[in-house]
Amino acid sequence: MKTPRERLSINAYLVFFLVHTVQIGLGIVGVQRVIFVEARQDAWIAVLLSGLWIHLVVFVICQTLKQTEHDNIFSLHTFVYGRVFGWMVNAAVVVYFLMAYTSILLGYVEMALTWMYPDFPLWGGALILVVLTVYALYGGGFRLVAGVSFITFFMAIWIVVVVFQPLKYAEWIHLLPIFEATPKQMANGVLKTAYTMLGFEVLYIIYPFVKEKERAHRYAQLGVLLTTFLVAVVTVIAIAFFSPKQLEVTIWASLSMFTIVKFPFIERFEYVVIPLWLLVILPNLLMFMWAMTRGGKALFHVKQKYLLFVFGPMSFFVAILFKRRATINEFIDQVGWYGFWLSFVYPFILYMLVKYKAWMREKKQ
Amino acid sequence: MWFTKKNRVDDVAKLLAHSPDFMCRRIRCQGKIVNVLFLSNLINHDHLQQNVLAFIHEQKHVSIDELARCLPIGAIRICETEKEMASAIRDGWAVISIEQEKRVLAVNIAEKVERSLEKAETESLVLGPKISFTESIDTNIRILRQNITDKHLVTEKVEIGERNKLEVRVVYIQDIADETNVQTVKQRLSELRIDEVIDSSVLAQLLDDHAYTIFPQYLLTELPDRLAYSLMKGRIGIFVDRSPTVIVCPTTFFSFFETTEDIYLRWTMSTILRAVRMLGIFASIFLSPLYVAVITYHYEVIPSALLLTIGESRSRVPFPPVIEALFLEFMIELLREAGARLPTKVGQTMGIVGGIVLGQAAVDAGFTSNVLIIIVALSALGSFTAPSYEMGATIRILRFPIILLAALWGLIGIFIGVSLLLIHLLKLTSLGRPYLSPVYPFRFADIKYSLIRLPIKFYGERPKTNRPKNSRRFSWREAMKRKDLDE
Repeated sequence: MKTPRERLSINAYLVFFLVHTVQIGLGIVGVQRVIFVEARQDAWIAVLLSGLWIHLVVFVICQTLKQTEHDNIFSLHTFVYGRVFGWMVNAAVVVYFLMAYTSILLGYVEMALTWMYPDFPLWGGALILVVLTVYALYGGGFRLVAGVSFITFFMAIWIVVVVFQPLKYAEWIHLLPIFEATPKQMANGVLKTAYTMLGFEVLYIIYPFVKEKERAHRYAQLGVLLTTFLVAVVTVIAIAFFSPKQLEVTIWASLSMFTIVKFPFIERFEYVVIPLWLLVILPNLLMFMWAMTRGGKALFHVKQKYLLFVFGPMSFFVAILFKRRATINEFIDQVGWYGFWLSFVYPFILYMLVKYKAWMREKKQ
Repeated sequence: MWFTKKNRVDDVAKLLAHSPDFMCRRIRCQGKIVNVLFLSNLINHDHLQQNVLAFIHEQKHVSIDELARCLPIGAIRICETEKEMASAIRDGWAVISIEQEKRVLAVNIAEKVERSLEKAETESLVLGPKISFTESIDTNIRILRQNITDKHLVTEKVEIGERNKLEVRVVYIQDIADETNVQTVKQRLSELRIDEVIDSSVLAQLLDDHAYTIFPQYLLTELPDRLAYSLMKGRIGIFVDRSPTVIVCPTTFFSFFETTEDIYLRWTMSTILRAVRMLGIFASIFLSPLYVAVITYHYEVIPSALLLTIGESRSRVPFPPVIEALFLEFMIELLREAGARLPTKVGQTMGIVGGIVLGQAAVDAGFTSNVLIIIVALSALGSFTAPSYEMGATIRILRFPIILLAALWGLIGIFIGVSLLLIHLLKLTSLGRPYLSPVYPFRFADIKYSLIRLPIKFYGERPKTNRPKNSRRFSWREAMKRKDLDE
């Protein structure tokens, strides 16, 4: 694949925002319960461990991409596996992006409907988000994705300040005893964190678009660092704020904490946060849809803007297949599972394969 | 008036559509017949008599070359064809032809009608120069030249309009303005194929990157100091004859919220004023949608004490909030439009009648709530703080779709609106340059030019958004140098 033109490329610092905003999405709203069930009061350690793991993964991803500088994951796959098998692996990656996109869509719509609009149909919400994505990317392209993630980051980051308000009611004793979780529990905890932390794998696709490639790695690491920090903070606060029994049954722990936040002119703060969260998931939606069309272009050699009208409706129809909370949850767990293998484990394998292939080719010459 | 038989004068008359004010003064001088042709409505008659007719009469030897050498008139030109002659006459020139000579001499004795220089009205300032541009391009260029004495100032002439010719001047500072921008402007101007252009605002629409957006992509200003400031920062101005506003390009979204007054005031003051303006604009777009969303869907958000007040004031209102809001917004728009169309004196009375009487009566009749009146009035005020009239109008229109979104889906509807707006603004360009700069692409050094102000010593570099060829204004290192206490 050719190097994108100068006009389309982005500055390295934007990688920070892209990686961070694509990581932060729905997961952070309700991750606490999921990890807590596995690792109990040591949940936050699981978050930190998974963060460390991601730092390593990001390092490996950047090392892989550095080999050629202009390749993305799709062209690397063709290089490593050959045309036919590579095509199949690429198709699997595109399907994963489609699933990730749909899961974010569904998760957000479901949350909004449950909290604010019990009577609104799920398909309506899904349709609105799909139309929004297609409108944005049609004629927008990658620079728009980067712009949206940059601006929405600043529009939403102030919520972090508010998170500290529930600390008044924190019982720090809930965090003790530390290091009680068995290695198996901890491993399960790390696995469950995966869905929340996913998204950094788009680095495989955005890397060729970065102007100063040598600095991209640094910014990607910083983005991951901020994500890990934020997830760890909300986890610690949730563990301290809720009693263990309560936390086990609180699906959207972060939102539930916001219910006690009060301003002189706003009574129920979570009613502000949920609409605002649209801005948080918007970069995710755009990023995954863009990655999908980018992959589709590699697969079918069709223009990305036409692929929007294929993948958009496709994810919409997948989304409306789901009716109940339970099935949506299962779906999200599935995506987390695939994502775990693709983003936490696979980069190491790909790195070795690319190294091996490059070495083979060099030997031939 | 004498017409010679079947000669060039007749042909010229035909080209001028036998205009009744076309005149031919025939002088017999040194045995030669001299014709002076002109349109009597367009010329300065004193000029004609003293400097042309009397002068020719006193000549000993009359020939075109001789006249071209001696005539006491600044602008002269030699023409050969009838077409050239006719077009010169149409511009208010007089054409002197001598029989038996093929070439003729055109001299400029035009007298153009124009109003005198006045104070700026649409962009009025408290501090700073008050003069504004007029409808004459010559006067405007003169004002600009008085404002900028830089030797690199370029005023390039382009003619557009295939039927109704119009003089357009592209002005920029040669060693500051970005070459690509200048080329883009010139190329777009030369590619225009249109019969006529009425005003610079029409030209701005013709030069647009995006025809379907409601956001203006070029700044129109009537202030010479604002134009001079923009040029010196690397932008390009487009003068259009017969138009008192100048196009400034490329323009960013935030430059519509700047005034030159921000520069004249001290930096603390202008930073605060800019913040007030931004807040005003923000409130103007989102206050009434928020009211609609919150009252229709999520009254839980309002603290109980405030909810009581709102509920009380809404108790007699029989409509859903969205109808109420649209009704009041429509009323305010009506007032504004009526005020803009009416003569000034009547307009003031109407403001009072509309604002006070209608508003009070609407509340008393139970059509709207007091709270909404406050909100709508505030948002109307907010929209008027936009220094650019075009942007103000855009913001007022922008409110309506967001009210509808709020009525449909509550707060999420508003945020869908915000997302759409954000995406739309990110897609926009002006002259191919990003519209949302310096926020995205983020240029930290330019924030001080658009969102806030800092003390003058920080402005050593021209804004990067305009891609100036030469960005250095003064050495800020020297300006920032700290002196010891008693040096």
